[in-house]
Amino acid sequence: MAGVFIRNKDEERQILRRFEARDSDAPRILYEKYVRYLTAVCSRYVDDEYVSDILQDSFITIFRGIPSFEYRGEGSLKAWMTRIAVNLSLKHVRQNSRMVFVDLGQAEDIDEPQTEEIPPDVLHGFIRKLPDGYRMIFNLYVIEGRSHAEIAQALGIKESTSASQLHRAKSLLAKMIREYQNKD
Amino acid sequence: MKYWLKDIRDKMGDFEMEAPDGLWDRLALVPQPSADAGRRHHSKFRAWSCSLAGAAAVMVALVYFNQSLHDGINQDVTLSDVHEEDVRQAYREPAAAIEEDSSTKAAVGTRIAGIKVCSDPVAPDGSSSRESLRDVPVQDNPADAEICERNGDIPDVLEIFPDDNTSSWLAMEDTKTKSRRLSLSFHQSINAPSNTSMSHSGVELLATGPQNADWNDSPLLGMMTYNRGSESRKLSHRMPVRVGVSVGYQITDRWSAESGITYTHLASDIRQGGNTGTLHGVQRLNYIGIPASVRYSAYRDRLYDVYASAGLNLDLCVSGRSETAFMLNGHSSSKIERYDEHPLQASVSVSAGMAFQLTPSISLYAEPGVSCYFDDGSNIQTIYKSRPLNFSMNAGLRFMVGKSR
Repeated sequence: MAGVFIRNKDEERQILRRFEARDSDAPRILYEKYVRYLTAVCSRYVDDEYVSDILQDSFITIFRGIPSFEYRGEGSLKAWMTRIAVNLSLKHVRQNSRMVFVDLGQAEDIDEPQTEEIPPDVLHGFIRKLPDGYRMIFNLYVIEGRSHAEIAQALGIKESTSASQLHRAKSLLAKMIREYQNKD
Repeated sequence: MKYWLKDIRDKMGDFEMEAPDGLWDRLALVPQPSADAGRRHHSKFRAWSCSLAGAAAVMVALVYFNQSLHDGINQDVTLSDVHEEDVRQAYREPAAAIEEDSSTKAAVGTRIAGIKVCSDPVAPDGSSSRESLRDVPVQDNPADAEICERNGDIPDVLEIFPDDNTSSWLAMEDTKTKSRRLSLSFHQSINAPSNTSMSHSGVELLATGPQNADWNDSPLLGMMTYNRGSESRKLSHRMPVRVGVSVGYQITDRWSAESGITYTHLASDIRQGGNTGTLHGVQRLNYIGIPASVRYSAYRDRLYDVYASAGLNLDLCVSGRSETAFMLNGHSSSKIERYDEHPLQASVSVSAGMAFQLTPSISLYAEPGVSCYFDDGSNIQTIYKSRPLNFSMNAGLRFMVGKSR
């Protein structure tokens, strides 16, 4: 059975070729393709009122950096842009809010919840509800895939703190998910 | 990483929100390093940006159209589920008229080298757009920027994080299965219990006649009369052959259901000997059945799918007959008897299975299971009456047909 197949990497390549050709439509195309996704990324880190500013800075950084960006395969452009948005968000959070990290030691095991039925916007909302420190570490570790070593360096905390905070974050998130499911 | 966290990560990897109002306009005020010398006319820019927005919308629509086709209305027609038994072994000794083994040893059915072709809601396509992303090198990663002035100062670019050597994004196969996918498969199976013979006494299917009936007209009656009690009728059951078409429906990420139509052919060799005559022949039964099963995928990733399934089969004997030939006192005759009974054969089965993804569109699976056939309340002797409990092993190849992501 035949079907329509659109690969992201072709789109990314096409966009990059436009930039190489100094096509002045290229920024708009890139923007339209990724702005909604990057909005969701930033809003996982910062409050709504700051999302617009951070996105603006992100796109400026992106447009400035694109001429020297090296395409490394499908999705690499998206990953690079995400990294920029995350780092800018993180910088903002560090500058504008006080996150307190306390190493709480061992915590209880987490009952792994079933998330398949939960829509992405609901999960996104749960992540936003996490307290600042937990949210940062959860986002960086689980979503962005950074290591505890990197997180520790970025946030100025110990690796063990990062690990225990992550555990707490997961536990809290699991609790939110269960409460949501019990309501149904 | 645990499954739920991967699920959350995957969902966040695609999740989008409405962009802030006026963001692009604010960006357009900032000179772009790659902009052409001179700016376009405002109205022309507007026209181009509208058409680009339209093109982007079309692109997005195409992607979603692709997704919705992939998800919702996909009616992949798939090839057969062919289970080939080692036929030679069975047919080498079809007529071994062995007394029924009344032990409780369950028969073992083997289905080897089955080929099942069906669509799969999770289509790990090696060329998927969600492959492993590689690192972005440090020099390409202006990861930090001072907050720039709104009038467009070019920000300093500093690194916050060192170059990490880990792959930040694991592009998982798309395990979102809100999709309502239909899959169609054709399958054929041969179930081979090991001890396939049984004997029984009695003449369930034939009436006895008066003692002075002309045996020439009905040598069987004569033989039965003469031979009653001397030797009983024996049936050696051959392996059932089943073919069918099935349709699968993905309910949730883990649960799917399947139903379809099957045709089953049961053949048995009849042997009966006595003082004066012998009888041999074949009993053939044709069943049309409806299978229904549910499958639960306990674990699935890019390479493996581990699942359990349980099912119910209802098979209706639509026709049955026996063709027999008799030798009695030098006379021979043959007879074709059509059965009036149309028994309903119910069975239940449970199995566990594992599939291994060989290529993006082919997976190899093995499914050991147990099936239990209920008494159909009829007089017709079938393999299922002698072996109601079967172990079976399904193994095969599953071909993914249809759209890939």
